[in-house]
Amino acid sequence: MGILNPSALPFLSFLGLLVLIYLRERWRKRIEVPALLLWMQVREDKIRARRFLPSLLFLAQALLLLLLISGLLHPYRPVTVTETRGDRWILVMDISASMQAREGQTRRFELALDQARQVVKALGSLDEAMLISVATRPQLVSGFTTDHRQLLHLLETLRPLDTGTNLSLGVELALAQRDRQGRQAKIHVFTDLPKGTLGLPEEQIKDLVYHRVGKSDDNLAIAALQLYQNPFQNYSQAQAYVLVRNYAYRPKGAVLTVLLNDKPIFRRDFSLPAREVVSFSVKGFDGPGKLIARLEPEDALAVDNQALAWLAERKQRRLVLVSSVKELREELERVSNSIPGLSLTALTPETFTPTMLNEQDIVLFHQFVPGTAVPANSLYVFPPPDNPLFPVVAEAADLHILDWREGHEILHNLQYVEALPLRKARVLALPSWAQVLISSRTRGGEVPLALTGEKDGHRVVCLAFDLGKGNLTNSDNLTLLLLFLNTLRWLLPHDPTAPLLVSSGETFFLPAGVTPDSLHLTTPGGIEKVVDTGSVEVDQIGEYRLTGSHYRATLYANLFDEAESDIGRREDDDAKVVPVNEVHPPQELSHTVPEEFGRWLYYGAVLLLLIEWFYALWRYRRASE
Amino acid sequence: MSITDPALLKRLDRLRVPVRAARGHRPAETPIPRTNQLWGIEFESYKDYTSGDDFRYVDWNAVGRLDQLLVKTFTAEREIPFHLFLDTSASMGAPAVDHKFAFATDLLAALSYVVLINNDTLRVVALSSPEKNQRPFLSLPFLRHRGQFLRVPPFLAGLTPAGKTYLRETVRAYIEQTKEPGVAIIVSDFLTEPPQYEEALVFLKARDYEVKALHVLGAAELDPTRLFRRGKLYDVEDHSERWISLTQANLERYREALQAHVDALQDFCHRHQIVYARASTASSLATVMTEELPRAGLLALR
Repeated sequence: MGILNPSALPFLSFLGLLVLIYLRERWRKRIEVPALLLWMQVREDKIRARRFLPSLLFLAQALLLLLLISGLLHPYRPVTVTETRGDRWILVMDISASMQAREGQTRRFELALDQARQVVKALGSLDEAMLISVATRPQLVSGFTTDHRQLLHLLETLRPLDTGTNLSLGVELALAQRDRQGRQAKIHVFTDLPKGTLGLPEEQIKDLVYHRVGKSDDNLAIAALQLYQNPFQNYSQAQAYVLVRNYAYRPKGAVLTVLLNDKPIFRRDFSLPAREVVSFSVKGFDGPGKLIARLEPEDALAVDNQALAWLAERKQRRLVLVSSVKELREELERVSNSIPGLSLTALTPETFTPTMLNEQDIVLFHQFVPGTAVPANSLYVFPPPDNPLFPVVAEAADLHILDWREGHEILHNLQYVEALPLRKARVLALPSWAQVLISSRTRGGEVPLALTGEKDGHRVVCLAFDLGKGNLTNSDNLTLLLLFLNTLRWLLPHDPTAPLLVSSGETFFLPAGVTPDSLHLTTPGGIEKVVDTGSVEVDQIGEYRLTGSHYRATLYANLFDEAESDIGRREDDDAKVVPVNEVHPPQELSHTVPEEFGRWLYYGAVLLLLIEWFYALWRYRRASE
Repeated sequence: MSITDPALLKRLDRLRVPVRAARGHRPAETPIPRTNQLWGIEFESYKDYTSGDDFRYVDWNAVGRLDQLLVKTFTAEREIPFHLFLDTSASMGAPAVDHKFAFATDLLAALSYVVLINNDTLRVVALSSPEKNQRPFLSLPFLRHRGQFLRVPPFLAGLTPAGKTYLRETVRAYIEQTKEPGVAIIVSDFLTEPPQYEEALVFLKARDYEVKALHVLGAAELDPTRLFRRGKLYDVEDHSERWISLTQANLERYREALQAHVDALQDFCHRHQIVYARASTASSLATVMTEELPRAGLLALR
């Protein structure tokens, strides 16, 4: 016997309350008699007798209260039950790109599927099984079920994807599910990856039943397709590099074809030694468009034999300078003259109005911050005190650069950031929408020298220090020029018609402000889907098209994943065939479970209430007669 | 069955209040025992003719048989003034479950009806508490025929039980203002100290009233277990309290006290030739009027 809800114990104090009510009622209530004359010979109660003496009604009410409170306590009695149940199994199926690798006349995925089918068929009738598929992320395909036919059907619906794998995450998910509800489950993993790649502690994976399939290493892959074309270069100046790697342990030959807008512009027959890499350079393109690098070898994995890129046409960009400093204007004219595709429009703060700008411009505000937001990406240099965008806290001189955000595009190829010329700078309070790019430190704390951020849908960069006279074109300050050019490049607006390059397995998030309403997705396989969330799962290589009434985009998905392409497996121990377990008879388990009986107490309370009610009714009728 | 019930009134039509000692001057229908006259309906005896007697009343048949001048005498029939006293002290209203006061007013109304249908005069007197108001009693004027019975129920309905019991003072106040003695019927629970009711009854006897006491008892007074088992008893007249547990022993003591109280009243009445009758609210009005009061001698068949 016990209780499951001790939090209801304080309700027992209601019994005390009932006693108090009775005592109060007893003291308050008096019985009117015509005279005490006849009662004077009757011995009056002693003090003790005036205290609480339970009546039948009180006992009934107390019992009623006790029954209700006891019901709330959820009392139980332990009952031993015998349960017949089967074992639990968790099947983890790798559906990454490498599972598409051919093994003779079949694929690794089919081999794994066969083994999984055998496992399911060998399950006892009461055995429960769970199915988890793993690619970039694990996915629970089916919870524990005894419907083995449904499980087989779900297995058949699985298809290998053109993505990498995160098998360890899938196994961790299975391990987390294994010990639920106090029943241990056996985990079967179906993959082509060696057990050692899981990266999990040995004690966690020692009980895994590991079905590793495949051993072919016959794969030649495009390891990378790199297109070098900066925004100021035209397609004719662009250069593409195709990196091809032989993952086989023997020499392999193949033909690499590069197509521009489906027209072959490059073809090379070559042979590669075992585990070697070769790079092909393609240039001299005669037009913009879709670039496809295609490898035609006789190998086991086809998904990594193609890559896409986009060759953009150069667009004329305008740099709008708003400054009253003549020397800076002349210097920027020299810079812009040396950059094809970039033109300079110089304005003074007095002549500037935001309506002069369009979305594709870059604006450089020098020692000036306009009072209203500007509809273009902008660079603010040495903002004046009392400006509305960057609160100036103080002035500082002779600062040294102490920290910067390594890896930011603006600092790309900048080897000597600390060499930037800083004579004086403004100490800015960091706005909530901005992040520090370069910083120094004074006694008062960190001093941001360069900020980046996005405000009102446009990129913003702020340099707290002045460029200085002749600094940009001075050969001593190459770092500053590179910083400036990188900044311009970062601020260049994206061409909305150009496709976006993504890696297969990534999630593409719709840009801010784009809603998935009436947005359709066409997959590389030509299947049309309705986009109902703010993201698109990219799990195939090729071209995705997003079309909607307000938004249109093209995604080029490539798979450059060495782990997937390197399909050769050398660990023979993992590759051994795991014998399929025999059908286990159902187990009979006896265990003790609490059986609640609070419900009966409620029934008793209702019964007692009815008895009291009928008794009161009877008394009332008797009194009225 | 209420006093306005025609069936009950029909049964009351056959009743009268027997009178033993009261006197009246006006001829009427109430026979006066041991009082005769030379005319009447009910023959009583013969007497010798004496000088001055009217020759018309000589019984010539007796003269023929006995050769003696004899005159017939008849039982005198007079109009008797009835004084019906109702105790309106607070004790008559408690305990509320007994409806003792309502029962007493019904009894009084029924007695009034019986008196009036017998062509006697009637005065209904409510003995109130002097502390409640300045007047020790409220009363209707003498009612002389049955048509005036309709004045009785509204008068009784206007009374409420309140105040302490002052039987002695109120009865004395009444008889000092009334010159016409007759039959006095006191309807009360007599729940007061014996000197109170004894003096009241003695006053009436001393003023030549023929006195009858109608003792009204509530059902819960007779059986207090109907009222409570344990609790704080409250005296509605002197506002005192007493904690009582109704154990078997206490119940016995109470019953003994009640019996002693009733016996004391009954003995006093017996000693002073006062008709004593008891009516319990447990009985119906019809039962009391047609069975219990005739059995006690307070009523008789006509």
